[in-house]
Amino acid sequence: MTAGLAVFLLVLAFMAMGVPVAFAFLAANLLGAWILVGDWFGPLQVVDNSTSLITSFTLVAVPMFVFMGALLFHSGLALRVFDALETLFGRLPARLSYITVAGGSTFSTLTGSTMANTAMLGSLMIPEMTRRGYAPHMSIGPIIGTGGLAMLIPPSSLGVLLGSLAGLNIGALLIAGILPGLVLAVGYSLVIYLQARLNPNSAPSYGVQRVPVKRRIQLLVFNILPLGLVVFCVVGFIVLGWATPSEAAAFGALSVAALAAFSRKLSVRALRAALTSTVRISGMVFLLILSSSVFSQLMAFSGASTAVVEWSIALEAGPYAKLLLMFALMLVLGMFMDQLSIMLLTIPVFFPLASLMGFDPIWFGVVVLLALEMSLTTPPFGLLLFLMQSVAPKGTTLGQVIRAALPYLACDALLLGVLILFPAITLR
Amino acid sequence: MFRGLISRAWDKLVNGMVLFACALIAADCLLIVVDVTLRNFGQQPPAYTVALTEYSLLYLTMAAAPWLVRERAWIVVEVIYRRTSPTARGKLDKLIFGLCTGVSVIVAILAGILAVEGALRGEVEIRSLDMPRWALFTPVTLGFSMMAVEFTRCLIRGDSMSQAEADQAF
Repeated sequence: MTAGLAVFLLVLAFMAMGVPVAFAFLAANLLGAWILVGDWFGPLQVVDNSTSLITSFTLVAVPMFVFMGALLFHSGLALRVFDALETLFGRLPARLSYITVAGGSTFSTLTGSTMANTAMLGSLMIPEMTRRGYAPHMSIGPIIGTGGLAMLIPPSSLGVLLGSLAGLNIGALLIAGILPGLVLAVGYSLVIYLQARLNPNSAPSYGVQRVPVKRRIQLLVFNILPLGLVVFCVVGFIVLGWATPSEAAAFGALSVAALAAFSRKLSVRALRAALTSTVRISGMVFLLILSSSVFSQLMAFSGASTAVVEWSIALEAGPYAKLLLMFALMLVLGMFMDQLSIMLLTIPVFFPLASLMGFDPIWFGVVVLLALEMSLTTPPFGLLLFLMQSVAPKGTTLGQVIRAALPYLACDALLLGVLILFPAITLR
Repeated sequence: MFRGLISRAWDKLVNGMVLFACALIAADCLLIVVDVTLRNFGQQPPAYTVALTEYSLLYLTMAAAPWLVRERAWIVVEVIYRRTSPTARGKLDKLIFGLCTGVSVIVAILAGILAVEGALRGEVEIRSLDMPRWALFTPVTLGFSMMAVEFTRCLIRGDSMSQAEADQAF
């Protein structure tokens, strides 16, 4: 257990130094395995085991969903949707923030990847919002919030992973996330409303041309509704049992390509840019998975993870107190590691425990997804915070990003309360 | 002149590997669509589709790896890094690039050992497609070797770690 703790602290030290997270994990894994096993067989095992996790069919959904989102962005279809939404929202104060939530929820549904969603919304919305004089919390906050929605609203690639690792019905888990995801989107809109009301200068109003009803209907029919085809190809194919989530993701990408071609927006340039973006994001994510997955095994092998989890189980407390403890543990882990590692570390203990306490596994799966979503934005090391900082205008500090994220984290916490009080919200 | 030639050839190799990774994603997409369509129309799809797409994930990651280093497409915690003085930051940069080079070299060597062992023993990973183990670890050797070269170049040039810009993130 001491060796495991040493490896854990080593990862933190490397990360604090500014070593790329993937290499911080790799360096600590190699060193930890060498210390634990006592010779070069340990590091050899690290490399041997690292390839098995990323050669998994469930992970195929990740590049497919990212490709789908990137193609939407680079073909100009995403911009068309945002333009249409902007027109439909009219003169509403802080409308760009609302558009971010509405568009973000739509793209959460379409891309299924939190990182891709945040990166896309960040690069698409922040320049325009900054130009219009929006305060950082009014632009960064909604993007971070809706970026996390991708985990709850299907197709969530993390939901797919959770379902496959915990042996849950993936289709049921994805559908169970719909209503909580929508409730969260409404909660985020309320935050924007309150922030704009309390401080109107944080989202200055500007003149907008009045658009006739006929034009509004046209925009809705031609720019927004066709995206229903993409939703059908992803969610519909899964629900109808025609394809697994990973396969449905490929159909989603193809349907976006078809829509772009139909709208005469599919060019070699757009296709190439979308593929390059996909390689960039997928490569980054897979390299991180490759390096951090062995870390989980190492923690388990040293007995450190089991000791931590057993300690929380041994506590004498009621089911909901234990649920909150598990939730909190995932948030703490989320400060330091990626969602996949958290799942690998906690699923073998948390799901049997939840079942023992009488919690429905699908409902508990949604709670875990919510915890994972929050952990991405938990200061000081939430990955979304850093991603947001990298796409935000130069000079944006991590403190600003964290402050912008806090009201949205509060919404997530409220949703946990709603899930506990009204478990039927996870429809099936 | 010779150095320039090698540098250009290296750049072409790195960019060519990115194109290969792009092609793999497009091929995966089409392969899956054909497979599912055949299956839903009562035809027998090829048995190797799933395994082929699974292995392609490793190949695309390793093909993109040196380019990811060049593009600084990585996640970094800059809480302490940002607060250091320019002189200390310069030393920290050298330390980080040195560490990353070392880690890449070690992983490349270990993956190379696994590839050679796998080839000598004729080991095969059995899925719906029998994959020789050397074919599993050769891309890892190649990817991490090339990353080591890219990190070394950063070290020699005296690059800064903090070069990730907004336009590079997506």
